[in-house]
Amino acid sequence: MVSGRTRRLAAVVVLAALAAGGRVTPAQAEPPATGVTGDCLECHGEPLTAEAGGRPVDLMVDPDRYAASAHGDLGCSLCHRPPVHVSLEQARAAALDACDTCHENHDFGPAGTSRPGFFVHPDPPLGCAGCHGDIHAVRPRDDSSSVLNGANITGFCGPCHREQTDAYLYSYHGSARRLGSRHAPDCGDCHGHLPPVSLDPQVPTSREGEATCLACHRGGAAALANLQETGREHVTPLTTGAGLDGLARRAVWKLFLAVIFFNVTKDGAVIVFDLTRRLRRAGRRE
Amino acid sequence: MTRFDFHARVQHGLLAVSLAVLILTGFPVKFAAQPWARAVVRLFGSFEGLLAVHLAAAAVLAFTALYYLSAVSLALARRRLDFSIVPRLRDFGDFGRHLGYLIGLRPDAPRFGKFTWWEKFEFWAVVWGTAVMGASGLVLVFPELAGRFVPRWAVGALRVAHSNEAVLAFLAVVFGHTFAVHFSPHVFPGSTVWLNGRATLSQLHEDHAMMYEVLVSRNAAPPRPMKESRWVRSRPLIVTELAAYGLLIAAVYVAVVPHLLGA
Repeated sequence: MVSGRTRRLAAVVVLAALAAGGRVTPAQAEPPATGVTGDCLECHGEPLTAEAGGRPVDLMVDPDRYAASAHGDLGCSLCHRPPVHVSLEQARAAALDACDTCHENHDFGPAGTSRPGFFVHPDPPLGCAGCHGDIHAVRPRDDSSSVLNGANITGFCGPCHREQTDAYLYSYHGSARRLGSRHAPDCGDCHGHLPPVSLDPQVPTSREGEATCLACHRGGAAALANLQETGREHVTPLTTGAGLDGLARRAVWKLFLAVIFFNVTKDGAVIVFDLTRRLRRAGRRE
Repeated sequence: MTRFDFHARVQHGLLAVSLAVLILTGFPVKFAAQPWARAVVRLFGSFEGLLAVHLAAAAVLAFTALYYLSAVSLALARRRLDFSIVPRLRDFGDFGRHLGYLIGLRPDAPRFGKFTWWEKFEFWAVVWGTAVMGASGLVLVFPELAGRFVPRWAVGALRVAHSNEAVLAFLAVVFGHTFAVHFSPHVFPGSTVWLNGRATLSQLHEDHAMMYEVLVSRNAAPPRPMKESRWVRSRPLIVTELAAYGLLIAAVYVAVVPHLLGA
């Protein structure tokens, strides 16, 4: 069984290969008679690979996952307009244009039409599948299985933003979200799912500066000013290179581990020696 | 002999219930990645429900602390405060002598007074734990207020303290407290001091020999207790407990030691 993450990675590979500008050479190059789903899936519904830029590209679309996806009722030809079976470069440009047809207020990265104030994944530039995973299996964000839904988003941001994602999951926000809280923010609630997002890399939050935190922590402006000056977010006891933020957490963590070790050793010694002594005594009496 | 008066029994009951609820509703947050954490959340309907119960239990614990402090203040004002819970140098010696006796290096058990060394340790651990959990909990639940005065790095460190003190308190109860008042064969299946305030003569004789001798001097008790708990000589009970506690201790070591020694 292929995991969702593998599929997302496969989708990224497809786009990367598409970006490389290779030519699709399907094993079965017979073009479909029409653009309707059933005909396309006769070939693409089965394992199908092509080669682009010297690398294999998976061209299979899982019929069941596609049918259950947000795009399942659109049909192939809405996005893949004829002529199909063109070069990968052409196919990619056509696909981005196709997304723009419906999702017109979303920026599509370096090849898209950047609009001021709209989300651009800065570096590396990612296409649609880079964020949304396999476009043929994409789910609406309010679907619990969507990669952009709640805590799932960490599995999505995590591969690149590992340290921040681990720290988020360690945090109260992350723990609460993972346990189903609807109030705790996920990655996108602070950093932006959709526009508007700050394009300032120093303030990578979805609203300008402090408005991100104060949207939930109302009345916390004075606290925020102090907190922003005296530490940073996304730090765990294992975070290195975070100065006092990491050191203080690590010191407290290690101190408590040492006390836990001491206490269990003290209690454990009393319990084991007490019981052993009683066992010997019980044996003598019998 | 009466060891817990009415107020102490009520305080113990409130502490026990609030601690149990705090652990039940707090551990899922610490261990949010574990499958059982979601199952516990479902018991409370939602995460918000779990959090509300956690805060309510914290309020009960805070009330208990104030209740206790009020009773202490009142006793102090009336010059009736009993200071016997305060640790003395003798308690450290008692700890060594007790271990020596358990290991077999000393022939006789040390004779304890009103409070044994482990009872004093537990008492002050609860005082320390309540202070740490209360202070860190207040910072965590009122970030908009606390954040004005507490630096960000300290807020993070206090959250680590809240999370780990919880584990420390849980393990202190699981090991020290459950053994002392439930599973030690001479009190098994449990001391009734927390219910009726009274310890049996045999329990008093073993754990508080100096108090027992006071009763003997008043002709309120025989030189040695007439009957002993039948569990004291139960080999199946002792062997089962040795195995259970041994496994628990090993499990804690496996979980803690790599983190303690790691980078």
